[in-house]
Amino acid sequence: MLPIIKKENSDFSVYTTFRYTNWDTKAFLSNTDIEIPNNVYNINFLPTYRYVFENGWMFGAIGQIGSASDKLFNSLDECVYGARVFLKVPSGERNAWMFLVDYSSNREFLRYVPLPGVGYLYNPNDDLQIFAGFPFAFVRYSPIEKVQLTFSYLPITTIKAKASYEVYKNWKVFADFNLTDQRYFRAGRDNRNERIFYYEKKAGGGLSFSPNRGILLTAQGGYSFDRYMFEAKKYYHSHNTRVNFDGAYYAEVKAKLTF
Amino acid sequence: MKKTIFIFTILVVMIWNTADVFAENAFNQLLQMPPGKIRTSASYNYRYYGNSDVRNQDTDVGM
Repeated sequence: MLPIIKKENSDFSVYTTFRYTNWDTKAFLSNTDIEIPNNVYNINFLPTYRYVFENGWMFGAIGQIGSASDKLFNSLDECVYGARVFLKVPSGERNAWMFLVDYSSNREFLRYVPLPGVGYLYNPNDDLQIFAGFPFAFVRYSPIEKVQLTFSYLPITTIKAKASYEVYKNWKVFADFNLTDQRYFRAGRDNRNERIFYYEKKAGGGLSFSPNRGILLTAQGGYSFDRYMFEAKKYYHSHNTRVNFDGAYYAEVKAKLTF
Repeated sequence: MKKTIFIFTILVVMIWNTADVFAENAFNQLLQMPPGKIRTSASYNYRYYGNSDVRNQDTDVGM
């Protein structure tokens, strides 16, 4: 997140993400002579504007332009576009309603279809935060001191769950479960509406260290399973080209700085 | 390949697992501190898979 303009009641920032994945395989998509691309990339630029009205309502607009492919920006067919506007309406001192409209060319489902959304943020105290609605849900709960549970859901198949415990000052151990997917537009495909989908489940745990609010370091490991890939226009066509991967152990490091 | 990973490691910037960065970004905007107080953040994430017929490596960088 890179703030560009910061005013008392508004801000403009740009969020940039880049993902590089190396699959290191000589496998082919099933029933085809198409090699699974070894290297795929996903880059996104997300300019974001927020404005708070005098009555406390917040308006936000997020644009998106990027590319998700084995050849970034190879053509317009490998590019990703999106836009989202949201309105946060306070309800009481700590709660809020949220309304949004979402458009994306690379959504897991109903791409190119603007989808409305609504949800309620329930935040009675610092130990409990619940966002219930469509298209996503989120819960953060601290049942006892030093323990935190989080759960989030994004349709259709993105689930993240995590439990952490502060074992020592600034040090936390955690266990987590993730069901995630990636989507890419393979350059040179015959049908421009087809995408490569990759799904996996991960269960693991690790250790995190945060000496202050600006630094977060994490090391973790776990097991990835139920991994598969296919290229299709829609999920229910997945059986035509589906390739199942063996489960695999993984190791991961993360670093986050805020300043 | 290693050169690419090295370059982005040097940049040292990144984001958490972004299954759908777009939706997560909107949600973060909802929960984040109010306008005018937003801060710069950068993160880096590297994951290596072993013991498999497909040995993925995922590198996420974001700012």
